[in-house]
Amino acid sequence: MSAEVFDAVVVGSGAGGMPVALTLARAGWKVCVLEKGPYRQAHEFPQDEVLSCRRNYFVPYAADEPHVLVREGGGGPERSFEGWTSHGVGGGTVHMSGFFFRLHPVDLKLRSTLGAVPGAELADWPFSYDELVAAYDEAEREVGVAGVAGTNPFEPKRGAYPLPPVETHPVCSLVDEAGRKLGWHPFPTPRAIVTRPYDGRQACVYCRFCGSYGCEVNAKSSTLASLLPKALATGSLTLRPLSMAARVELAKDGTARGVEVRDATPGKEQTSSFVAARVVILAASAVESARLLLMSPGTGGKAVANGSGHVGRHLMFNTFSEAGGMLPYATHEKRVPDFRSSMPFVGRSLWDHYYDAKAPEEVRKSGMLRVGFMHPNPIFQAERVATRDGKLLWGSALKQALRKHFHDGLHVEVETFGEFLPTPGTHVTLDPEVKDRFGLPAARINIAHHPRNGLVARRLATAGEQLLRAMDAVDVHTRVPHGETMVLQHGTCRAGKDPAESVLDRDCRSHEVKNLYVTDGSFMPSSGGCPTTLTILANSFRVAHKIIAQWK
Amino acid sequence: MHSAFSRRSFLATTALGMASGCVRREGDAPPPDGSVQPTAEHAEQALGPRTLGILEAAMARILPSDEDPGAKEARCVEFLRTQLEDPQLAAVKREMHLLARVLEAAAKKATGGAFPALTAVEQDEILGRAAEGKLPHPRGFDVTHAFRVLVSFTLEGFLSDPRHGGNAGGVGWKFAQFEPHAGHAHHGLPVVDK
Repeated sequence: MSAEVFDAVVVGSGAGGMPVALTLARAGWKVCVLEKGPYRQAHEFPQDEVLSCRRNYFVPYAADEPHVLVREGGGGPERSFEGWTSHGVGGGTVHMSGFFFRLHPVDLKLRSTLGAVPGAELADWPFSYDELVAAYDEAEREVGVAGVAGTNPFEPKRGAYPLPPVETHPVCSLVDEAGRKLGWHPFPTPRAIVTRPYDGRQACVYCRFCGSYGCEVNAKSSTLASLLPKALATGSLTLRPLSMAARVELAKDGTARGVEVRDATPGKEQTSSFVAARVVILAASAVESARLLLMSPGTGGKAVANGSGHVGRHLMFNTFSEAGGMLPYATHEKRVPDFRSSMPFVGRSLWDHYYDAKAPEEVRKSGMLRVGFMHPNPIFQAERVATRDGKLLWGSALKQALRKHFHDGLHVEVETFGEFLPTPGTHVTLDPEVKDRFGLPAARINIAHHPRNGLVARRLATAGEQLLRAMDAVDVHTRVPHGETMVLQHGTCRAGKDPAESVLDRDCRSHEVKNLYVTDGSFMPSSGGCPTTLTILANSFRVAHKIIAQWK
Repeated sequence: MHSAFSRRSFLATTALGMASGCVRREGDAPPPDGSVQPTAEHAEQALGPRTLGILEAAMARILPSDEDPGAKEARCVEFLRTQLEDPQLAAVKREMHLLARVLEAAAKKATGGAFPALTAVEQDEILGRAAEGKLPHPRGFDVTHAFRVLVSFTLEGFLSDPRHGGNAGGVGWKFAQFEPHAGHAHHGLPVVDK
């Protein structure tokens, strides 16, 4: 057992953990960052689909560290890797695609805007959008975000991005044309990618191995590439990879005294140590931070910080659906110059469906469309072809379908991200039976969609379909009109003003344990209708400044 | 069922979590027709030539050779063999063992011969029934799931980095018009020893 007492221990090194760790380390705090996974650096990231995307490189196997999924209306309990964002230094930001949007002000006022929605547990955020704006600026500057300010007409006025947008494939002109034809407003997708040398990092080389891969040149703005080097350079940060947080321990006075840690090296799972700290900060993901609290005995027979019984509740993802289609070489090569360009990014998004006061009430608050090429992984594409329409193709039929898929055109997809309403049935608990390789209870993820989720997902997929048809795509289809983004997680430790109805206060500090903070997506009272990694990063910076002020 | 927003594989999502349930346990009743009686001992064995021969023949029908190369030319079976040496894939290896035995039994019943020796039409007929779960199988063994796993391995073997043993000569990548980035060779990952 180490006798050292850190000023802060941070559980998790991804979007929620590294901003606060960096900021505290810069302020001279002695900070220990615990990361369950290994410490891999850019040169170790394989551009190998099997290793990176189809085995346990970035997320654990369900056999070793299961989550248990239970879906209302069928399905489960099922052991799954789903609900893991990552395991490794940098967390999910290492293999993210990095679509870095700011939320819309309406997202922070969802309850006031929509009123009471039966079956949904809506709440406004306990702080204002203005407070978030400064944090967005800081996060974008610190990690490096590329985009064009003022091109999304649905976003409040904002300052310039630190970096110019990514270069785009010529197909992008078709998206713009089709969008305008429909009366919509495509704009350059902001990306967590360094498009020119920045902060000592190399610019993107447009290699195509982006989302689902680690970046081999550190141009993707993961916390590993952007924030960790700055934090280590302070000399105040201790990084402990392969360290699984097993329990938050309270002192007799009810404050947190530190974290019990298990060695995550295979075969050493029962070796434990203790990291003592003045301030404990959890940022292991909404699912895993809730699990950690629920595994930690608190006072009065309840888990740590769970006097309200709200830990694990209000779990949200984003709704997800997609539309796809092919732009045939035969028709589009003549229309679009340099149609076979190897440029990987189409780079357009649309927020025309984000918040529409004139839309039917159920879908007034929907979400966004992101237009891109189908992920370039060939095995992924082939499996999509083999399982299209829910039927398994094999034999000559599969070979013919693959030939057509790979030879006849470019495949464009419209991914949609929508508002995921919190419901009483969507929450995290500890599974009563299933344990992980550490012998710790697995997180049970219960999902009961609000009916509006499906309507939103369908509305957005239909809009995607319309856009593709306006581009004269063929074979246009939609997939999974009622899904969710398990890697974009929110809720579970809701921030709010009322300690009886929330877990954290406006500064993401536990209402009950005064030196305990949660800085991942757990705090969010609503999901927003777009990818939320930038929001998690920004909030972590915001909270860091509060912590410094509170613990002078 | 798994999340829509996921590019991870069928193998990673379901087989590795659940396939241990596919092995016949001690005390299970023998299958009704008595045709296949594998045990958990299969898990400890490497896939032998007979089993690999059956799975190779099945993969050659899942992704047949025509004017373009298929599973046979890509050496998908070598990919499968190499992958299943990974102890973490032991449950999947058991599943593939059992699938081979089920196909073998079906071939014997249909023609009295070995599965690889059947005609393509005969093989397709048996595989079609495997895909629909209509072949005799041990209790608790999900033939449809096992066939789905074999389809996944076939596609992986055809289109993965040749360092894993399949996609011989890059035939799969050529078919898919996929150009690997130069960085592919730079990471010093283990290369299959042929």
